[in-house]
Amino acid sequence: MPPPDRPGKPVRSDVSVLRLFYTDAHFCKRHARSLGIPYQTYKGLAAIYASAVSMATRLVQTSDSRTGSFWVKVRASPLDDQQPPQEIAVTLPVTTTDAGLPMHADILYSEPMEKGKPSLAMQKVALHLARGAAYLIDPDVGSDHWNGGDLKPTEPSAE
Amino acid sequence: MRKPVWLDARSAPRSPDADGLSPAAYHRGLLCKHVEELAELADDWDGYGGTGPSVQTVGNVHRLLTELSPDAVQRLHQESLTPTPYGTITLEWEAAPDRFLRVEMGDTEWAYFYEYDDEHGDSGGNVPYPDAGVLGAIHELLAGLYGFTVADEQFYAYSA
Repeated sequence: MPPPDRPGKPVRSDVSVLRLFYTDAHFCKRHARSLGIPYQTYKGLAAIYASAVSMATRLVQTSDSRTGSFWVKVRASPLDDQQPPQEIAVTLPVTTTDAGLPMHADILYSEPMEKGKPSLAMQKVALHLARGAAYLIDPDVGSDHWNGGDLKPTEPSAE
Repeated sequence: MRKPVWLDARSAPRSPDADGLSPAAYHRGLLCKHVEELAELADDWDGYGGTGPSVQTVGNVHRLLTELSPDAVQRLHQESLTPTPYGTITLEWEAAPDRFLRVEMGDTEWAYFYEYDDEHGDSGGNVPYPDAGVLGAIHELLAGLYGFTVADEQFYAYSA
């Protein structure tokens, strides 16, 4: 059976994140809660080291040479129009007093996933990221303050 | 976010009781009903541009659920049957954090990978669905993960 026609926009290849060292957990919570994504409800926060994201590419490519040029990385993308997107390793002179979301970044995949087609590389990267992330449930969603504990991710390791 | 969907007879919604009253059959019915609900996911269902599974993908998972042994089906939890933002469906069996099998089903292809203590492996890329060899490999991996046996006649019946 031929694959079905899959019209519409391509699947996105970016995931928005906030850089905790450039802000604080209280801001992250308020921002996450304010997003208002349809049919989604804010429940808590997850934290992961940027280095764990970069490591995912190396681990997947090392364990499976067929993944080829597939990669995932973090790009600093301050949404204040004052700074061009740069690699996360570059120190950006951003502060919480800048307008917009200067602490914004994106987890980027090398290419959008093909609709309806399995991807072992993506599944393995997703597993690695899930293992490296700490997810904390917010005990008091209504509060403007984060009271869910220390947002400390799992220390990245070469496994 | 839901959209209207019309499924063919193979994957038509049905009651969990439709397969009979054994625990395995009842559980299989619940899983089938859950998968059919995934077909209703509309574009942007995750609020981030995600696309829902096609009727073909849902039909493939439905067929796989009917081909898996009762032992395998009973160890698959409803929340372990999840859609991806790019329109595939994953089925995950996790006996322990480092002992699991994850199967990903698409429109015309499927793939799997697993970890078993220090051992890991995968299907070697995407494989056209259905494939008796992959189904047999999945049964053997699940038997190893959970310690149940797959009788020869049962194996051949499911992989035929």
